[in-house]
Amino acid sequence: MRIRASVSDGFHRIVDDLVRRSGGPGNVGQLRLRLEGMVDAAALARAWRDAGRRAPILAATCVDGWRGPGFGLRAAPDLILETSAADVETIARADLRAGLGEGNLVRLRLGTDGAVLTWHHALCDARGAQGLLRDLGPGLREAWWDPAYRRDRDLPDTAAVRGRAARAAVDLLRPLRSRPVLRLAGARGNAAVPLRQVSTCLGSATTAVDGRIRTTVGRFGETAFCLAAVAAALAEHGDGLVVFPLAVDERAPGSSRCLANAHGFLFLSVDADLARRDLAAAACHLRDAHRAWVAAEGNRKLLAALSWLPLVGSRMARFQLGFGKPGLHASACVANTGMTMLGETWFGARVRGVDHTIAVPGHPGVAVLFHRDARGLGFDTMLTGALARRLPPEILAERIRFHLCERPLEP
Amino acid sequence: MADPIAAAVHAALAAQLGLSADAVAAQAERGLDQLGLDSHGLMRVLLDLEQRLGLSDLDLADDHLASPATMVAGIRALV
Repeated sequence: MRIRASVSDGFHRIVDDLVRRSGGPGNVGQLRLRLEGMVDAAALARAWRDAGRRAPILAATCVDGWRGPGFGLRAAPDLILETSAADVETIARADLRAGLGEGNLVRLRLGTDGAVLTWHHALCDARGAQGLLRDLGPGLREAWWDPAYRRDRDLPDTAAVRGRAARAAVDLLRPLRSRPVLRLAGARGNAAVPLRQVSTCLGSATTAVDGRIRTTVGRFGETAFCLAAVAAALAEHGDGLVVFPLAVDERAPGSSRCLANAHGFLFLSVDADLARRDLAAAACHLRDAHRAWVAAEGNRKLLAALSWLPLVGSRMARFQLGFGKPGLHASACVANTGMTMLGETWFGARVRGVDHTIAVPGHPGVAVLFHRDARGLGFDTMLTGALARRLPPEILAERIRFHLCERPLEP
Repeated sequence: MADPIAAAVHAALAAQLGLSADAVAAQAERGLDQLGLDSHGLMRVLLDLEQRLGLSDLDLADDHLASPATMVAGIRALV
């Protein structure tokens, strides 16, 4: 049996190709669960096996054909929980280097101080992966066979409307080509691996950061403020337009469809000079750019363009993502997952926190992932290959922390 | 007679949150974030409200983005 991939899934397949081209393991994400106390490994193994039976897409493989990308379902083998005598960091690094193997979508390994879930973004996003871990076992309410399961909310129904919207997408992205994009020196030709990561937890400083967000961009401005902080940190290393590609979750709140991509896509940009001069103004600019993108039906137009993938090949979509060059047309891959979905305990162990990792394309070669858990607001900073040697992630992370927490908001 | 601004706010939030307008009205004092709204959803709701109410560039102060009830009050103060 074959499930046709959604247009959002197609986007993640293109990113997969971009990561592999620069030597990476593909478009994989990783959750590193920091646990305290004994995990009930037997119960977890049972729940993991049951999850594979309830949602066979977990054991599916990515397939390609003349009809475009999809998922091939096989007679669902039991998902096996792998246990290791190594710690979370060691397991995570090994999994990220080796990837998931050809076509596989997910892997869960239990270490001495936590668990590592590595998954392919064609399966779901980070919130979906957290939802999967939260709902493991009898709680997994997936209805992956529903025909509406992988429907993109904003995709126009008819080919004629899609065609017009797809043409309009080019106009939408044209302003991003008007100026040179800020990229860290050495990004071109940079290998996706080895990737270096540093996790930063703001802890008690989170309250102060929330106050700064409220006074600059309002109560729903967290993502804009975080993006501005990253832009300001990058602006210390160059000039030009700081471009962020974002995937936003379009699922209804509380949706049980955790094993699906229903994404909207945005390209937000801010001038490096503005981020250097005035953090608050840069955050407001990014918030307004987000609103302008929604008002211009940017998501609808981009999905329409991507929907032609099976007919015209990946060339058009890849051009939109990389403007004819390998890699994403971006300064950094940035995401904000929000509050972790996991409770205080997980299979008997206390959840201390969850760190996030993605395999970053060698070009741009840098990613910053924001999220919240019991430790407060946190972010993971990743740099690949030669970039990590030129700019250690610890230094970039410290600069981002400074802009979030300490930089004066008045220019 | 039903309040058209409250009806529009409840309908716009309901469309975004996958709830009924009545369910939103029943939770009018709850925080928008507690109802599941995020920044992207808020953008959609504000644009939806502009269309429903025939307003241009609806810009609500931060205090008016606390709950459905404060949104209604904020828009009422603008029009």
